[in-house]
Amino acid sequence: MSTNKPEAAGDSRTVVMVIEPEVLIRMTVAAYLRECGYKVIEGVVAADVWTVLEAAVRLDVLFCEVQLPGGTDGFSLARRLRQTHPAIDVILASGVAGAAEKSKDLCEEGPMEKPYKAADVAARIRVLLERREASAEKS
Amino acid sequence: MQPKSDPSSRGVLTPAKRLVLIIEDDFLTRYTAAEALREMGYLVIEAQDAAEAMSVFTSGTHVDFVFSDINMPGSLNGLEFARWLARQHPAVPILLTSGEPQPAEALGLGKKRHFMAKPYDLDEVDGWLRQMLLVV
Repeated sequence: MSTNKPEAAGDSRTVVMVIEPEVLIRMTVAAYLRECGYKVIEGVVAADVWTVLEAAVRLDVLFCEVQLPGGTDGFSLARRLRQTHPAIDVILASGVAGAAEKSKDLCEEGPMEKPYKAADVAARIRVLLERREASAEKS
Repeated sequence: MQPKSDPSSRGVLTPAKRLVLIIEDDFLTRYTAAEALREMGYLVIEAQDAAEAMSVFTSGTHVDFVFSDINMPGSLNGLEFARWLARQHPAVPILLTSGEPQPAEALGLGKKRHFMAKPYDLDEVDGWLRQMLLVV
């Protein structure tokens, strides 16, 4: 096995790409969606989506934060993607609560429904953010 | 020495539930390595730079192993992050990698720090993980 082979052959899971610039939200939402049975690709900026598509990796759903660094926000990315790749479903989310709520909606429609609540995902993200802030204040 | 995992022993060794934090600024390299390690059974968190990695640690998330690029944008490179990790979380091993020659500072780093040149084989990464974590 070597680098630059982005996708295993024969993987039939629905592929969700999560674009989220805040690492603690990204890792929590991605872990949650993986537990729901999705194959998840994590990205930070809009350009990561095009990198995936140019590498011929199949993408079924884009789960994207509205406010993104790098000049292209979630709305612009969604508009362009609908023109170039209309088969990809786009879900826009905003902030911790929005990400939790939208990921819960996705899980309910996913291949392995689990009894998660959006509030639990949001609470988990908030705890992580608060711990980080408390740690930063101490140092 | 570059340990390789023995594919025939995969059923015996148990990487499952070990959490690996990958720090890599190149999206495709990060995704490829993360996905391969997930297929091997590891839990993986992806960080694009040292600041994100520090954020993961300071959130209280338990990390078993760090696999980090050396040359990264941001306030700390991989070696500087390794020094921060040694001070703040001395029990967590780190495997450093780079497309540049091995820096002198990465030599003789002991049991908790090793260097592996790019391009790397992901089975080689798995081998280092097993050796440094003693996943048996």
